[in-house]
Amino acid sequence: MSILAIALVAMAASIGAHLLACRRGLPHLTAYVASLIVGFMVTIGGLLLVVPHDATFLWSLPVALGLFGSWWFIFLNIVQAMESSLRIRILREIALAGGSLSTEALSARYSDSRLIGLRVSRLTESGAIRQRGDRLLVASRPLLFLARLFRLLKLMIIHRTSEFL
Amino acid sequence: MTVTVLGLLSPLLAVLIHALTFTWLPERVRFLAIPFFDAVALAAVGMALSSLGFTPTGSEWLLAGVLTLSLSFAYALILIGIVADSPTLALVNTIADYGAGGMPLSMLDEFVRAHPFLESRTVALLRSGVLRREGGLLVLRGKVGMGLRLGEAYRRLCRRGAVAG
Repeated sequence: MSILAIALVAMAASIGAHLLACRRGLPHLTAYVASLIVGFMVTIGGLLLVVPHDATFLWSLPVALGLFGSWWFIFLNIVQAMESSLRIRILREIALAGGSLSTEALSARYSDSRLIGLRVSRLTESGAIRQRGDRLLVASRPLLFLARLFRLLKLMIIHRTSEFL
Repeated sequence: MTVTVLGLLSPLLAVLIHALTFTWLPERVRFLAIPFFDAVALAAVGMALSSLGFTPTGSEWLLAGVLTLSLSFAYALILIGIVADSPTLALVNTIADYGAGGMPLSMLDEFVRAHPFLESRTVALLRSGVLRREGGLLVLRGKVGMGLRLGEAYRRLCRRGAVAG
């Protein structure tokens, strides 16, 4: 149970680090990395303090890191969903309209064109894509790798490369 | 050692079986089936360990169970991103598909037409019961409003501006 307690403390420290980084105006990615590193260090530090430095430590390490890592990933997804999830955006628009909204009004407030336009702007500002003349090119190899990986996973699990095919 | 093997092998087994059987499962239970697969995997791995003389104690079952559920929840979040196209990743893949020459800006409209994200997410929210239709209106369910408010409260703590979507 001490491993569970260590992971919980690490998660609390991680959230605290994320909050602090955000309030200091650091970019999203930097805040996430800071929270991950702090949580990781607290996990390792907690284990070194509590668990005997023998085989028990080696067996406890993947458990503690597995707990903290999965919780941090869940936290990352929740926080990022509030930033960029389309479902959250739809729910927020309906909530702002008093809890109900027609489909037409929703489309008028937030359309696919606007969504893609925003994505292009963000990707361009971050340097992930760049414009050369009247053409767009992918400039971020990590993002391209991630996009291709998800396409492969789609093919393997749902047997198609897009939900719209 | 028992917790490590039980807590890491069980979610691995559960995720593998779930991913392989995903498209055969009825759509309504595809995600709900994950905890079921977790329970089956935990029982199977636990029995295998017991047969080898490593019977987990009560606290070891609990820790392994928490780890299994945590890792499976993380998998479920990744699966959402696999099943539903990410606008960003779909855009990156489409741009990259044009090769070294890049994607003409004029093709963005075609991309928007081929990827009706707003409709897709609205349908998903209706299917999950988070939204319901009343006449021509999309209506928010009460309990979701609380979740949104909590998320907004955290964003305000982080001093984040208005969400672009």
